[in-house]
Amino acid sequence: MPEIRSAEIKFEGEEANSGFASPSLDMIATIFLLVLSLAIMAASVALPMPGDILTAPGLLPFIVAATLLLMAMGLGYSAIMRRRAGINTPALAERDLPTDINSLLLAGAVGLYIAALQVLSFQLRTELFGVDFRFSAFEPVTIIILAAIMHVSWRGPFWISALVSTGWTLTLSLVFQKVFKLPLPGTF
Amino acid sequence: MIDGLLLALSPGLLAMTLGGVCLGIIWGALPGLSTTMAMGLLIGLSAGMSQNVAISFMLGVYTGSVFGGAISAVLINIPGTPDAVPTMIEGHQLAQKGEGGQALGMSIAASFIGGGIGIVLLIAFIPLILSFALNFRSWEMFWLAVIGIMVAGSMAAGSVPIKGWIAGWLGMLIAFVGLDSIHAVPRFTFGSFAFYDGISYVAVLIGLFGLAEIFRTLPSRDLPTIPSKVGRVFPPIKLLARFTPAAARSGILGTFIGAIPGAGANVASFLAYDIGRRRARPEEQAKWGKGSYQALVCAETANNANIGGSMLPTLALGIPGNAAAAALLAALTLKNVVVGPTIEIDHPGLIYFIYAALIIANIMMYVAAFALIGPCVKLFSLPRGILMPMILPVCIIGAYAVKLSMVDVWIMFAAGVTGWLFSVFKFPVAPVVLGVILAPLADENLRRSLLVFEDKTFSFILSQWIGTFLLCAVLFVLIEGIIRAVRNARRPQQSE
Repeated sequence: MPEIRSAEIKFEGEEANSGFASPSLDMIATIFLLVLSLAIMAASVALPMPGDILTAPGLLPFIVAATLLLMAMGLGYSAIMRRRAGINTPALAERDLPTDINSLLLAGAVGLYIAALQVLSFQLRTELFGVDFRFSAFEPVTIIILAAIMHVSWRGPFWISALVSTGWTLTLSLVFQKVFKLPLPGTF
Repeated sequence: MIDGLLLALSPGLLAMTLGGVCLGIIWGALPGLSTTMAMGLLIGLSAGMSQNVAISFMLGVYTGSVFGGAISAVLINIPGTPDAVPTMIEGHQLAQKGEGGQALGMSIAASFIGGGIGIVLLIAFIPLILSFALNFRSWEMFWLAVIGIMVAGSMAAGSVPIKGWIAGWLGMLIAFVGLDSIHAVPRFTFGSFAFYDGISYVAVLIGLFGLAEIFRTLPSRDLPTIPSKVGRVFPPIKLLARFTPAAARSGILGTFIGAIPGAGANVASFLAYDIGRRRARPEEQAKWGKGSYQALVCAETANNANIGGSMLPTLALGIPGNAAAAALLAALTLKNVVVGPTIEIDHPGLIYFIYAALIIANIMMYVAAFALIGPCVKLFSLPRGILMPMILPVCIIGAYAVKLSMVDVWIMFAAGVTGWLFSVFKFPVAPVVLGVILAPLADENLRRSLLVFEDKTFSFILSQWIGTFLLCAVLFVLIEGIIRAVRNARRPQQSE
């Protein structure tokens, strides 16, 4: 039985990717953080100060932004050192570009989904077997978007995606409205 | 305590705990769906529950999902959470030998023992910590919040602690948006009333752990291989008894590591796994990394004992032990439960109810885990392209449910995109959550303590020995992190 080496371990989870990125990506992050921390430092100083400086609303934001600036400089320094040590990996060399583009398209679809819930909000009330049911933009919008995302990502027959999407949306709608007594987005 | 136990044993709460445990096990078993993600998404769902129901349900989810990670780790070689990595190394080797069922049975028993040790130590130590924590004033609370964020950053980012700290600091900046707690001055609201209430940390949590995970894993084409059969699940009693000392040692270790703010179950399971190897007999040591039941017991006992440990700082100090405990803290806050040194005064009897709910959740985890292994294996065969989109409306409802506001849904979306960008730039996300939750505590207490220290000498400030000790601890974490970062920067080829 071959022994598993740590390099072969594949981990899935929120911290799966933390560590060094390519020096170019770390430099981009550094520049962003420098600009952000300087902007927050300036905004903290500009905040009104009703009492003493010791209780100024901008005190801790200023300290946090200033220390963030130092950390960003540290990150930039380490990126430069690694580049000097011969690591010249292009910024996106470690990335799987088609996957990243799909992630962005998915984010766009989710943005569209939320916008549709907000813009198309409506409410219909109906009574079935003596029970009051409320339908809003949540049900049709979720069924359409979910079926589309499932079909694109799974690539199976569309009718299965549509069936799963409809079943799941109606289940969620019933459970949240009737069991947890929570109104759903897409209503007013 | 008896009252708390009787309350937790009422049929409605038992059903909710069982529901939470089952949901947690299934959630944790599915690759890519972590404990924090489960906790984060279900906060919104718990918003519609009463206080006791929400606590029982969330503790059930927490206990179940920590164990659930072992199922996918053993059977399909993909741990759902970092703490299941040692379980995967040993358990999958055993599964390949046809002993996957027995490895899972040992994991369940070890998780149960670990959970039990964690609860016993929690009950034993919390009165001591609570009485000690009553000495904590603003200065000490400020440093405690800072140390929580720094340790979380240091632990989450591994070889590059600076990235973990940056993530924690960004989380703090998010929390500064809104009216400040002393003068009610609007900070970074861009003139919008929608931000006067601050940014909902529940929405941030759901975005970072739920939506970001969907963006990251749904387009990925990696598919795990599904096992055809699991084999015998119940472990022999003789085998269990042989590893009792290792389980007890790892359980105690896991609890104490859990009690360190920011140090999560991953540190506990890796450390227990490593110490277990050093303390094992030579013949057992030879099996380490090739399918050792003792190693499996060490890792699983430690990561479940961590639950009780992480509750210590969460309940006694209001400082979450890890990101999952931070989600629990957020759920408690939604129910107007303010945890911390005065929990016994503010909410008499609640702490006993939490102990009781934890004990019941642990027992239910033991029973439900055996029953759910079969269905979990079937769930692994569900295409990811179907499964992951189903989480999407849950994220949206979860973010919306807290304040019934679409602004929170947009915040959740922004947090999701940011979380995905964090994975592209290789920043950890857990410290962001700790930063968001602990920043208000740090902000208010720093300004209050500075007001107290006005006109006082520097030696007076240093004479506040608990605060000075915490300050030294912060400096220690900082210096250790810098040394680690410099060492890794000098060995770039190895660390890349």
